[in-house]
Amino acid sequence: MKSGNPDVVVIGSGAGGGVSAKVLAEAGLKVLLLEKGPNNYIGLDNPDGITGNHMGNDELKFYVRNFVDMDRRIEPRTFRTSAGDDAVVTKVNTLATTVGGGTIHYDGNSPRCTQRDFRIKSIYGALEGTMMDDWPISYDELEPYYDRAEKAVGIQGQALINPYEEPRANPYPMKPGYQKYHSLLLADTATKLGYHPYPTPIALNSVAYGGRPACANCGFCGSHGCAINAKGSTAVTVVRDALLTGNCELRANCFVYKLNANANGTAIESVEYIDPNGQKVTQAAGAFILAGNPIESARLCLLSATNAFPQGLGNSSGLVGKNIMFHSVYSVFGLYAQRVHNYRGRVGTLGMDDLNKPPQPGDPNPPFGGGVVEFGAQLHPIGEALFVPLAGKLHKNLMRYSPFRDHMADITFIAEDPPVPTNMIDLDPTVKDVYGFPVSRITYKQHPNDQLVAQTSIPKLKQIHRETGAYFILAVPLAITNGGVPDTKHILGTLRMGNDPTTSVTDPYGRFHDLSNLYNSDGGVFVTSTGFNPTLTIQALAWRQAERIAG
Amino acid sequence: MRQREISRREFLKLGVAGMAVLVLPIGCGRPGAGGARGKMNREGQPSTNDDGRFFDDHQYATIRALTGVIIPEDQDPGAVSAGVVDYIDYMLGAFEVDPPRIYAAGPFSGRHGGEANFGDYLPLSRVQEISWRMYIQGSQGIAEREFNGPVVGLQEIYATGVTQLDALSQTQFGADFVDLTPAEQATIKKAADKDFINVVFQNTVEGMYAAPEYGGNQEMMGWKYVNYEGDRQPIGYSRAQIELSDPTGVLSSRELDEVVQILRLAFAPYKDQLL
Ligand SMILES: Cc1cc2nc3c(=O)[nH]c(=O)nc-3n(C[C@H](O)[C@H](O)[C@H](O)COP(=O)(O)OP(=O)(O)OC[C@H]3O[C@@H](n4cnc5c(N)ncnc54)[C@H](O)[C@@H]3O)c2cc1C
Ligand code: SF4
Repeated sequence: MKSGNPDVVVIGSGAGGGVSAKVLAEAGLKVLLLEKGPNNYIGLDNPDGITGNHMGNDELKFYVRNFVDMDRRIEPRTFRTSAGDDAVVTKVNTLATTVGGGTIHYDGNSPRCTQRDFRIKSIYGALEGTMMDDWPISYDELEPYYDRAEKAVGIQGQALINPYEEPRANPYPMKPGYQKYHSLLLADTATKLGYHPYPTPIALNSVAYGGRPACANCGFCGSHGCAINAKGSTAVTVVRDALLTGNCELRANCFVYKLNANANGTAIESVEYIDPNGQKVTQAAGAFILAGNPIESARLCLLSATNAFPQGLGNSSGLVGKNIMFHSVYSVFGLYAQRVHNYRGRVGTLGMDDLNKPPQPGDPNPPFGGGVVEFGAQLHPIGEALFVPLAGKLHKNLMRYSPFRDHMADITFIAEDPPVPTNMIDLDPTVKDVYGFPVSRITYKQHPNDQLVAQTSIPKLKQIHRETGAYFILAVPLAITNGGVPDTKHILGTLRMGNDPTTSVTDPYGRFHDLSNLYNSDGGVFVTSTGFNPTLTIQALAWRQAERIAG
Repeated sequence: MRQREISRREFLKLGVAGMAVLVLPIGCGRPGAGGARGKMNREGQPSTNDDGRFFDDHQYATIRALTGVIIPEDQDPGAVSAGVVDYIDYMLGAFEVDPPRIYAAGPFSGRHGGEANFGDYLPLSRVQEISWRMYIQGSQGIAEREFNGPVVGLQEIYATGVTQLDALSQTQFGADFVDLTPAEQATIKKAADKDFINVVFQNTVEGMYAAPEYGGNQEMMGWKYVNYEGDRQPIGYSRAQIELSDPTGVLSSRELDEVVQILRLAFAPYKDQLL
């Protein structure tokens, strides 16, 4: 690697980029992995085992001080709900800035999509105001890659319980770990009501696996990095695998700000980045993979505009940055007299698929979509105190009774939001990041269908709480905790794949239609948002693409 | 080796004598700002970095009183007992020590096994340092911190805030904020600049419930009174602690009604958005 240019530069070491690096490096290609965040591991490339990390059960560091989450002071974003409005600087679905990306502090829920998720237009027909479409690939084509990704990152789960599950070639690599009290409580009622709960597939070790220990159920999964490497983040799994081949070099604290195309704009020749000391570096390679998450990857295409390509690179369709999707996420809280101590254990250990694209017999216009339901949440005291900002005696009572941390059981509903072309990211005309480049401006408004889905689904989830004996029930869109701005942590679309270069940016393998050696391996290629947490699907798609590149 | 990757463990391996090297104070704090005011609670560990405070004695006393209005003492300790002002003081003085007191190293505090590493701090990357200096010290006309214009730092926000609290207190009650009764202090808090109070509220909550190594939550008072175990690695929780409801702490219907009232109050601004 020290001599000569790499075969492939991968930009971003998160869910997608980590997998790209592993598969390419194991195939013998020379890979350079550029990551804008720090490496918080010691000995990631040590064959005898990872020597240490800078994680920990530290709510201040992770939840408040953005140790791994993107730091909005130096990497701001702006938001507005429609193109006519002025955008304001605010928190818009920040993900990560660290080796391992969002998989460092994700909950780890790793469901597969179903064939119905990839065939949404065939099932429901067109939806006004959207670019809703079927995916150019099927579940069957993706199944072997789901299987590989599940083994590489280490997924616990149990097959053959969920009636909506698609066929699998193999069982889950690990059995489910201990269940959480409030997950069991809610799932029990759901079963009585005729739903079909099953153990959530999660990227956490239930037993020692991949040279990493079993999860200790410490309760600091969501928003925190795992202190003992039991969580299958890409850092401690696929990035490590890539480094161990000797074919992959990881450069942390390197921010890529530009792609340089050849004269006729048919291929990328090099990238430019700012190194840890603030110096600009140009790096040539044979191929390039954007994996900075769909906001940052689209931004990079737009930042790379030249006189020859004023719309940005890869953008002959005009769709780069368009059709951004975040999911519509709802929290349905139930208050219980007994302690549910949701701050212990993994985030949620059971869920159900009954509300994902339910068949609606006799209804000619069923709301499109729906999605996965998770029983369980996790909150710690700083989060609780900031969630309900009260001072004085009320604060003390709030914290002693602890509704959100200790007495609240949460049902999370993750609903598919459709691809709407006016929902998009482009470059903000005035606001800059610490490196001096224009930041992402996000324009996003819910489609009316989203409200229909909520109206039909939320009452069903409230009923589960009622039948379980909740004292008080509250259902809110997740966005209200963030001033109405999306903060779902699921970022999809912006570089959608398809066969037609006029209605998609990338081909069915995530290669740009316009550029022969530029690929996207984060959630940018998603055609629709699906009814599931996206990460395992991002990883399966990245795997399939990398095998194709390696030939 | 990248500097960031040096942990205590690595240091010991390299034969360097202890972590003192990494937490060596580069300034001795302000005169009179030593450990006399409060000490970091380190659960029996010697305090290695009780330097680098920011407040003068009057600012310290004023902010301590204000945190006490935000989280008062009652049958349980409040922000004053838990030393929240020390947390704020250390945060404002974070860059007086090297590495700055921003990110505890981890992965373990030592409270439940493992080598205690929360009292050591991580070196920041170039851009992380810009971010935290902007936040704490403000941009001060330094170009690399002003990519979106000037930024007022926390140090200035606190210094100005204390002056304004005193001015309001003098006008209304003829004395400085620290010399007022708790009821008078609560009145001044309501009249004070909302942005300043919001900053102090956020920092008070942080200092009350963050790991004690950051200077507040002394003797883990913030965790104990809310029936919370704090950090748990590496032991985590047992199967029974996860799968069963603890028999302690069942809320009575009077308490549940109180909670519901608090929730209604808290969600009142979002009434239209409740589903
Ligand atoms: C609290 C939380 C809980 C979550 N829970 C779940 C869950 O249970 N299940 C699930 O499926 N998903 C979950 N997610 C979402 C999950 O983290 C993301 O779906 C996933 O990480 C996205 O992968 P990605 O490859 O698109 O981007 P990322 O994982 O964000 O990786 C992108 C990487 O690229 C780097 N990068 C970006 N731009 C540049 C640049 N210009 N130069 C160099 N490097 C760059 C970034 O620093 C980052 O490390 C959760 C997220 C959070 C924060
Ligand atoms: S709950 Fe398990 S996987 Fe999650 S952070 Fe704790 S030990 Fe790691």
